[in-house]
Amino acid sequence: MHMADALLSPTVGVGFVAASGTALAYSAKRIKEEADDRKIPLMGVLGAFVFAAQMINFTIPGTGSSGHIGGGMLLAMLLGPYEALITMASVLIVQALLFADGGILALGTNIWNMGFYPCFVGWWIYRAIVGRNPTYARLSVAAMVGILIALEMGAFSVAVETVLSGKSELPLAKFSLLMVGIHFPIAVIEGFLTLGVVNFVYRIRPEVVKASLGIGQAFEQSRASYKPLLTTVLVAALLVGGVVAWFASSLPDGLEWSIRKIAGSEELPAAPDGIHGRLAHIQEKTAPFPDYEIGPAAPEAHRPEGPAKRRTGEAAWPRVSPGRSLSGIIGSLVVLAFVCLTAFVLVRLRNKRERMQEGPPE
Amino acid sequence: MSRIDANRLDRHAYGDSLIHRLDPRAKVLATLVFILTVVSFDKYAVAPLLPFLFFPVVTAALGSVPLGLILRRFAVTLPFILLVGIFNPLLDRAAMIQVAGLQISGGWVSFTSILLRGLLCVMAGIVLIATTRLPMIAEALGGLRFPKALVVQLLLLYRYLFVLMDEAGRMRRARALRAGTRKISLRDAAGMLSSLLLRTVDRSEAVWHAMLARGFAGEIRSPNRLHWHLADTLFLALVAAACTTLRVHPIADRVGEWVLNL
Amino acid sequence: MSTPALDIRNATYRYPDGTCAIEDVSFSVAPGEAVALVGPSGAGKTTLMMAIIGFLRLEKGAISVNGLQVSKKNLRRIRGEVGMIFQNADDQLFMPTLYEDVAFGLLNKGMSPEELDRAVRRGLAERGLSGLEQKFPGHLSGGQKRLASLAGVLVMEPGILLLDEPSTNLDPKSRRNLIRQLADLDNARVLASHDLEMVLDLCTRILVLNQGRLVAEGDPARVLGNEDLMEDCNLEVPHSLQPHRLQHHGPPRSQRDS
Repeated sequence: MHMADALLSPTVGVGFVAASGTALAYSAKRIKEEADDRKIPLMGVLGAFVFAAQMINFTIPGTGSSGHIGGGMLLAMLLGPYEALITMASVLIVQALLFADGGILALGTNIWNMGFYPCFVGWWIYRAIVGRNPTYARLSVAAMVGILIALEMGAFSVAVETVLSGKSELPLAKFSLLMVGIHFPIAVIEGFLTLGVVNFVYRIRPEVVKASLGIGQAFEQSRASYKPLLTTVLVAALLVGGVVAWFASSLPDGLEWSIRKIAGSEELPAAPDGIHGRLAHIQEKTAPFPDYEIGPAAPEAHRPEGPAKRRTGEAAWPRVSPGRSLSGIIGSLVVLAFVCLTAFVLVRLRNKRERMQEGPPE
Repeated sequence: MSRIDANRLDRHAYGDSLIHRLDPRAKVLATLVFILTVVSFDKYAVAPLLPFLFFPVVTAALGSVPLGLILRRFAVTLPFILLVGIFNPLLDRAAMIQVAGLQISGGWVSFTSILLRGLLCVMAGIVLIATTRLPMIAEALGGLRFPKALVVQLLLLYRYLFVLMDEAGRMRRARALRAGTRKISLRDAAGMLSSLLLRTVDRSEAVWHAMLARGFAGEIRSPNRLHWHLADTLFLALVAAACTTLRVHPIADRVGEWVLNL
Repeated sequence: MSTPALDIRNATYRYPDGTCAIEDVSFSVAPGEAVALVGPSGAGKTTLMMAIIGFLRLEKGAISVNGLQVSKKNLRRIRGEVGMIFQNADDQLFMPTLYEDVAFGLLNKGMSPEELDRAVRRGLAERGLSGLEQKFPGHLSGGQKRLASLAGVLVMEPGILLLDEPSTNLDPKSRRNLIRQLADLDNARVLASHDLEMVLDLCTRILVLNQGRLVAEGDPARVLGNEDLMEDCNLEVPHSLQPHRLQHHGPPRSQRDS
């Protein structure tokens, strides 16, 4: 479910960085106010625990494949929403850097999809169901429902972000159905696993489970802030889901737009007669259908319900002349050759320098 | 196994090279500029993206990052990209490029573009982490005004990452020896996770005690270790200038035209 | 006589479930003295140390460090006076580099950056860890980890040092090195250990805890040589105090003789 940089547009990427950044800043502020210094090492070690937990690959019943735990919801149940979001963000950053799971710009979307939904939305559902008197049955139902909803929201969100970015041709309806469908069994399994763990921990160390629910002396106090917080979360979710999305799709990519301004036009100036003439000649000779119109205007039937905005963007794509294609391909090959040559020369130079540093063999 | 690659990447960051010595803030910013520029190209861009390969290739070579490692990590990211990207050739079939009688549809072009973007972004990220220790990246984020709580968590998470992963690995091996199979049922997994979790909670308590014993009062202070030099400014400026130039001028096309004109 | 570095009077502590962890324990440690705390697992050694540094509150009795009573309002000052080496060095070294780890306590004390750098480098040098400043603790050997945690505690200049099983998981060479370094310290030391040979090397006095009670106290060689007492406490008389057994086995023989 990790979003990749390759599928993102800058607007969607930066938009979600801003949204997740806001959620993180708010969480950091709340943690500072809470000032429970015992939680600082607990968060760090539990973050590392998520990686350890993901190494325990279990066999998914009925299939041959294996899966592992996501962890966001479990963190929320053990730490509370703010601590869990910060911890999950650090988990995702390390995953992006050391494990190449999810892109770096995509961290904004990933923290949102796999941090915000489980830690905030999922946690609130969990707490609402568990209430003041946790029982094994309530904990189980709460964990399962919370994870189902949080994971499916995340999966849907991946589809929305991908479609908004416009790099993929997949239509929103189909893609989100696909994502939600694939993630349903995953969510059920993670739900079972998590409820198993939470029940076990509750039996041995009930205080760990109770602490994050705010049960104890602090309960009344945290109850008081229950409603405004719920509102904040809902508003934030709507804002990001709606406003960021709307901006992202209605503005023709901000960065692209400004670059077009700078460059004047994305289209190349008309190539001199020489190439064009020669290439047109080649094409006439070689093309099986010389009169065939080359362009991106695909039959409408092939692209159902894509956002209208995108299609106008595509229509603006310059008609590709064969001449441009050829020069593009040849240029690409030359550039690739140069890249390889540079790498080769640099590595040779480095090896030579290292050998010189080691000194002559005695 | 990804843990081994992650460990190798991490060990690599403790090496020394021109790139290793740059300020982590410069490297983080340069990586962001690079990735933002790469993703800002329209979906059919292939040729204009190719010159961007120079940045990760040159920095990887200067930072002695093995190419094999980069490609292996890229392969790990492929399934999701392929899953999403493969629909492009199926849905977008209008011919877009025609060379020597061969027609290539827009879908294949945009699919290639997605793969190339993926490669570029993964390469940039791996060069960053293979030449910069994670704690230094965390400090760089602190220097770039990220919340202090997040920076501290990154440091602690990193400290116990391999400790706990090794513990889980031992647990898995011990279980495989006793059970005679590497397959773990859902029920067993829940049991293993639970005991691992309880040990983790106990460990956090021990760490907390160790902190308190040395005067911890809610804030983790660490000495400032970041020093911005002229080289860092130059590096960042060079990357930004190169990215802007390549974004505005499709070098590959120009080279192609020039070759055809010969 | 000067104030003792540590003074414990009638200390009693019960776990939440009611079992007694330590019961009516009294002893004191003079400045610079090295005292061993031995006893079977679960005898209450770690609990006693946790009470000295103020992680748990005694049910009855009192503890004072350098004349300062261990109580909630004195905790910060007590923790400035007491240094503790925990059983697991990985838990103790939580910062990403050795340098930062040694600096952690000093920064909490509010040391200025100029002083800090000097103090950290000196602290590492004294433990023979110069040049490892930028090392990640996870990349160190067991012996280096132990010395590093010692460095982080000793730079705080504690009056008394509590050591909980410092020689566990060390190879013989690192263990000898650790013993040598501990012997050279002039802080008061309380050493809880199952490593009775180390106790004999380091300590001038020994306290035996069994089931939370202090059952013996005195000269290490005499106490540890008492076979009945050792048997009662599930301990074994150290080999160096068993000359008769050595005779019994005779000199080591090569394989061919047997």
